[in-house]
Amino acid sequence: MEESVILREGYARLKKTRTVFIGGLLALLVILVGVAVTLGSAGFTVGESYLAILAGLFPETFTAPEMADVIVWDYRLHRVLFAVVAGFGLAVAGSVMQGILRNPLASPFTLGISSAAATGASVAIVLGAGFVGGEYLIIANAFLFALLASVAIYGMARYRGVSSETMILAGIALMYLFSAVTSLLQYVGTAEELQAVVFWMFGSVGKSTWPKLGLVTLVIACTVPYLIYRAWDLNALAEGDEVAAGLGVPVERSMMVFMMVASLITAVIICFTGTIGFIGLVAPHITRMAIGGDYRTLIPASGLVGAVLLLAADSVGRSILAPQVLPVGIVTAFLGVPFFIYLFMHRRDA
Amino acid sequence: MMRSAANRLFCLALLLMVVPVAACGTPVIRSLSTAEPGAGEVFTVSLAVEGMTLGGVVETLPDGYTFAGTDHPDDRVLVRGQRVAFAVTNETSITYSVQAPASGSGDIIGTWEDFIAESHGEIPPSRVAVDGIDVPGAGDPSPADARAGSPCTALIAVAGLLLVAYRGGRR
Amino acid sequence: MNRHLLLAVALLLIAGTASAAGIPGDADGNGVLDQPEYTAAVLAYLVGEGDLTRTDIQDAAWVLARWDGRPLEITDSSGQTLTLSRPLRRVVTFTGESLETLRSLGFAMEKVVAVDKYSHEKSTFFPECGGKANVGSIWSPDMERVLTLRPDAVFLYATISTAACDEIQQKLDASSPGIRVLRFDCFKPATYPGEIRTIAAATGCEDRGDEFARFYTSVMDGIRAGTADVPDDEKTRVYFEYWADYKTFASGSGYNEKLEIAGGYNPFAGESAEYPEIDPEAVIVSNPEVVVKLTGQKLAAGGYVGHDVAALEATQSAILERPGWTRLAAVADDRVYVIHSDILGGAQHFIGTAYLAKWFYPERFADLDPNAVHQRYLTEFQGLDFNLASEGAFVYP
Repeated sequence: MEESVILREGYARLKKTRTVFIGGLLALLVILVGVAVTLGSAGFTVGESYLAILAGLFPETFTAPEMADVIVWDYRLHRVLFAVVAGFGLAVAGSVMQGILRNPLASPFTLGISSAAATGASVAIVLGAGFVGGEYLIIANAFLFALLASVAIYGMARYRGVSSETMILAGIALMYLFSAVTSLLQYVGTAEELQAVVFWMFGSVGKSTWPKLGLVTLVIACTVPYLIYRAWDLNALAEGDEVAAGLGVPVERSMMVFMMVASLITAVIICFTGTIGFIGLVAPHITRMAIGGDYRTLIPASGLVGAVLLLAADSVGRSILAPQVLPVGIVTAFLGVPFFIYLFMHRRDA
Repeated sequence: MMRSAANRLFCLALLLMVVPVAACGTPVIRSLSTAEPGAGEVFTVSLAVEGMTLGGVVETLPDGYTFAGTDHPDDRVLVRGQRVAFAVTNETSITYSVQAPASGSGDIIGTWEDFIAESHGEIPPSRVAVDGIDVPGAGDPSPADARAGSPCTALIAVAGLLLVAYRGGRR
Repeated sequence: MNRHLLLAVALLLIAGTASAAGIPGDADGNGVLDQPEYTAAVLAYLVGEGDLTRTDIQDAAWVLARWDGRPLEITDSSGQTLTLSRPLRRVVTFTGESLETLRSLGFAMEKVVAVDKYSHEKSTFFPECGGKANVGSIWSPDMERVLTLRPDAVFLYATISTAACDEIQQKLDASSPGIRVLRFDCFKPATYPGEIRTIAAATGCEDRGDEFARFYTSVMDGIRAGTADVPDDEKTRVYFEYWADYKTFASGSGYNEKLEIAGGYNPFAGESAEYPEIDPEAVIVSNPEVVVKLTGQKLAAGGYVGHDVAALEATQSAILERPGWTRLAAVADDRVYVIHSDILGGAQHFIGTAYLAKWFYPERFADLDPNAVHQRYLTEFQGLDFNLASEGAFVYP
């Protein structure tokens, strides 16, 4: 009797924490977007930036100061929103990866996707070879090579049996392979090409455009609801293969599907931005510490945390060396440092 | 009589020396056939233009004085009220006629623009009065150049004095 | 849809300095400004009618006088054709080479409203640019600042940093089509004379452009002619070292091209990497007749700042002391030289090439005085009060 009361109370508290957490994140995100849109070297006041947004939406009622509408709509707004969407996607992909690999240090890049995308970009930049010509050469290459990596994981896992251990091993092997190829291409390339590859690998939201934002949003809008719908299976998988099988979850197939979906989300983001690390690793971790490991809420919540983190990192990158823009991948790499120190200090055997 | 003539010659000589200097800094110099026309008399205004490939001149006549034609090509002249605009294309001189009213005086003022050299400025005003009678304040277009401290203004004043002295010699 | 409408309105609002529209004063919009149209526009402006400003009329006068009333069509070094309906009044340069070339042509530096960050920092060579706006670099451009400056034209590279330059061009074309993007390298011997003339035509500095182009080609052609009849097997063998030890250039690198124009033979030209690192033994085996060492940037010694000839001398000594090098012909004959990349890399490469030619073939180029060429370039074309005898250090000995 008492036990059930304690449990129910505990659960009610948990639900309340989750609501507060998610609500707080949403509010924080809105505030951050509001701040980020005013950052830039054009020297507009906060009011002028908002006026420009309103003028873009309701041109009859509002008129923006000269140039403000072009700068805000063509340079800032889609970049800010892209950071939100990319952070969301990477965090969701990271949380899914941590679930199926049953490793809290897993990230979307554990299975070698980022290395593969970097190789694709290097092939495009140094060899000029790719699947699609023109300005989409690098993007298409990065995307398809990233998917190639996940297909390779799939193939290797099928061969040796699907389990988190085999996938991680296969992922590490692929990561080394692709890194070696990238290094070779960097060596062979000219100084210019080397610079281009390195800049790509820094990871930046600077190349965003409205169409790219639309594409990524579309992919995330299609995949995340599906992941939340299947979240219960993820919860089961996180407990262990036998437990999950016992609960009636088709283990192998589920793991593959989840892996492919997470890889798809990651690939579609990093083909536009380059490899942005640590969001997929840190966001789910933070979320888990705050509201627990139930994937039904962990997925959307860590997505929000990821969005906040990436937007904050990009805003810092845009302000800290103004007017120079520090690529967001560099800022997030520094993010990893306090995180791992924290983990190191507060290690719990859970 | 001889003294008058000598006076006149002296003033004229000084005038001739001063006037070119008075035009320092401006590529357009105005001269009138007479600064004291009779009532209703038509007098000519000559503008000497120097080194202007593509430019423009706007002359503003005092009230009562009317524009009476020019030798400048028709399609390069535009009259708007008291203002006459000339489009300059390499010309070195522009001549136009003005009809004086029954009475009244004022300053003919003008501005010049050199579109190739990307400079502009004002043409020193020229005083004109019917029968030499200066009606103070009447008929004056808004004085456009109140440039204090300009050496041109001082020299123009001197030139004016000499001109008056010359005229005085006629009496 | 709304956003595009707004963009159109915004563009019209800023049409004052944007040169997206046709020639000002072209009333019938047929793309040609004839005398009657110009006169009508001038008269309307003089009496205060019409909506053309003084700048518009000045632009119209320019087009009529210099371009015969027609818009000017130029083709930049990336092959794209641009039509200019007005003269350039607000220019942003992302490359130091195009900025330097504009100055050589006598283009009014007040019309350059912003420069890249590297030129901004060069207070000795570009003293007038410290006060101009800084738009970052090609790889890290400050696009917002470029836009707020409302330029007519932006200069970028044509054949290098293409990914970054293409991106800047795309962003500008998408958001501000009135801004002309001019792609010029201004450092390649093959294309520089043509670029000088094209930029001169675009900026109305044809006379000076012609003079500068002739000065440049006289130096370069003189070098080419002087080495034209040297048979391949008699070409001076040169080991040309980059900033890092034992790094040289292979064919495909600009420095190798200049070496070959000067008539040198680079035994390592055939290597696959652009800047290959060579086995020290291979250098000794090749027994070069001349050794040249490049300084500048990563190996800071000499240049326009200061007068640090001693640093160049130290660089040379360090090379002479390399083990086993005393047996090299270059060392025995005292033909080890140091040169700074400022006069071999960018727009001044003809000066550096002249030095190379003189070092490789001293008898053939006995009359060539690269120092005088350099001084003339600085004084006459760059308008700098810089005396090579007491300032800067570019070559040793």
